[in-house]
Amino acid sequence: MLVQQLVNGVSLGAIYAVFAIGFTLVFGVMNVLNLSQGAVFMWGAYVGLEVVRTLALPLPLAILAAATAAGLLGVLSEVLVFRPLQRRGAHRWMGMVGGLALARILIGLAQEIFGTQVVRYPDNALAGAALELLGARLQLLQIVAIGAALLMVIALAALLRYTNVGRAIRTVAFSENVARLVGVPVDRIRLMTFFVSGALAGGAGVLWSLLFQSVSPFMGDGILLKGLTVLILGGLGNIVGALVGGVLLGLVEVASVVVVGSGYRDAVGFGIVLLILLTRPTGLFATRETTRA
Amino acid sequence: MLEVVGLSSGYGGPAVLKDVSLHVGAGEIVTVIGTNGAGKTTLLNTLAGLLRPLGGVVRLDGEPISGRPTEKIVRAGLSLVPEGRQVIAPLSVEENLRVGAYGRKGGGSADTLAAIYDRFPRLKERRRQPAGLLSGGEQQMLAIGRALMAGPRVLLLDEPSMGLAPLIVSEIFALLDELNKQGLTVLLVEQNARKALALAKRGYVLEGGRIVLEGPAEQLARSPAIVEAYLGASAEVAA
Ligand SMILES: Nc1ncnc2c1ncn2[C@@H]1O[C@H](COP(=O)(O)OP(=O)(O)OP(=O)(O)O)[C@@H](O)[C@H]1O
Ligand SMILES: [Mg+2]
Repeated sequence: MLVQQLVNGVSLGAIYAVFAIGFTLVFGVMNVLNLSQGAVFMWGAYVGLEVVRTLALPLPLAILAAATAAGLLGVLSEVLVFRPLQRRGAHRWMGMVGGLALARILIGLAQEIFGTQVVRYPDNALAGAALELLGARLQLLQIVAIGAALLMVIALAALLRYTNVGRAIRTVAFSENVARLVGVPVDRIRLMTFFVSGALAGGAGVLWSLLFQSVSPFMGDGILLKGLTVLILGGLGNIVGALVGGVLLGLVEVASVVVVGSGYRDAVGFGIVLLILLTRPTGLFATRETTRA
Repeated sequence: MLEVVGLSSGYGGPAVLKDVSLHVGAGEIVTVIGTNGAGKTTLLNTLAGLLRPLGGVVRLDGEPISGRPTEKIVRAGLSLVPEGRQVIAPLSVEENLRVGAYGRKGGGSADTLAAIYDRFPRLKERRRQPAGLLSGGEQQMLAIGRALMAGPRVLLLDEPSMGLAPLIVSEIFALLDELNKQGLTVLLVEQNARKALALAKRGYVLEGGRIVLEGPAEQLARSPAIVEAYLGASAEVAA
């Protein structure tokens, strides 16, 4: 029972983490809070669904397609919203409103194209297959979610720390002008970062839809708030912090379902987050240092 | 080598830099002096492409570079050591130097790195430390080293003496002299007119965004207007 809840909490948290890592990456590198991220997550879920249903391709390909499409939506948010606003010297509040506006457009488009009813992925091996571990049922899907989160963190941390591009990204995070002065093509680095961030959101969208057996145009709103929570919990711009924060939020939510019932899941979850923030106002990891792995 | 003709530039409002023309020959070391707010930083940032010129043209070896993005200008062979050093504080000393080679065309960055460590053993000793922990003088050396990593043919420096002790300033100016003797073309912007004019062969005086005076450095250093405005009472004592 306890092990089962632990597995459920960690795998749910892993999906939050994948979403939040993209969120925190864009914030850490460009100081942009991209509020269209939830809608990008939702679009990822629909693209994956269409690939599975209409094209009848296997799920891993659907995840890949969803991540790519969502990554392109991330690029679109930079090109349509954040870059033009930055060029005009707009305040970052404007960027937040711009992101929200884009989210509403993306949600409206999804309603037009896919309808408003809740749909779900067809039965598949990823969600169906399971193995027994210490008396707990471990779905293949849960393993994939946890593995994906770990892999993402390790890959991103290594990229940022050990590669030329990683150093360039951290330089952009420090100062775009300094980055330009050392010859870094800042516009391209920003596009890349938005792509990775969107792709993570899209991948998370597919995993979440499989776990909860539901896809709808409004599914991005809840995760946006959770992503924001994890972003702050883990320390702004902190990638490892996003992983730990995501898993923590997942565990807290599952625990609160067990203790007080599912109706209070979000209330208790966010209540505990509030308590953590009251005791540690800078988040779990006190580094304001951006994109520190 | 670097040729600036009728350059004007600003920040969206009225032009800050007005019709500035100057040139720096290959292997030359030239200074632009000016008081607070004269437009020195605006000039260098425009040359480096961080600011888009409102008018005029900048040529590097006859090739127009004005209006190009900064990363292209760096690849063309012009590097700027920005005002206030701007070392990348959270990155280690070595990472600062390595990222400096990001825009380098062709190889040789390993040799440059070795040469920088040779010249500044302090940087080598502290290569794994975050650059933000270095002293002001060390940060200035690092900022210059980082610019050199791009393999520039022309080096621009924005007030490298700012906020540093006289001894450190002398060290930095000695380094610039050395680099120049090795063939690097240097354009140095300074408020410290005495030191700058002692180092440079020629100089320009920038005031209110315009070049108001130019000539050989020792001539400028003796000109009454300069002595009064920049060298002040201490110059009279020295003279
Ligand atoms: N970001 C900016 N936006 C608007 N105006 C600016 C900006 N930066 C500088 N200015 C204005 O442009 C003029 C020239 O400034 P600049 O920084 O080029 O002078 P400077 O010679 O480098 O001065 P200092 O010796 O203090 O560094 C000043 O009047 C300043 O107020
Ligand atoms: Mg200045």
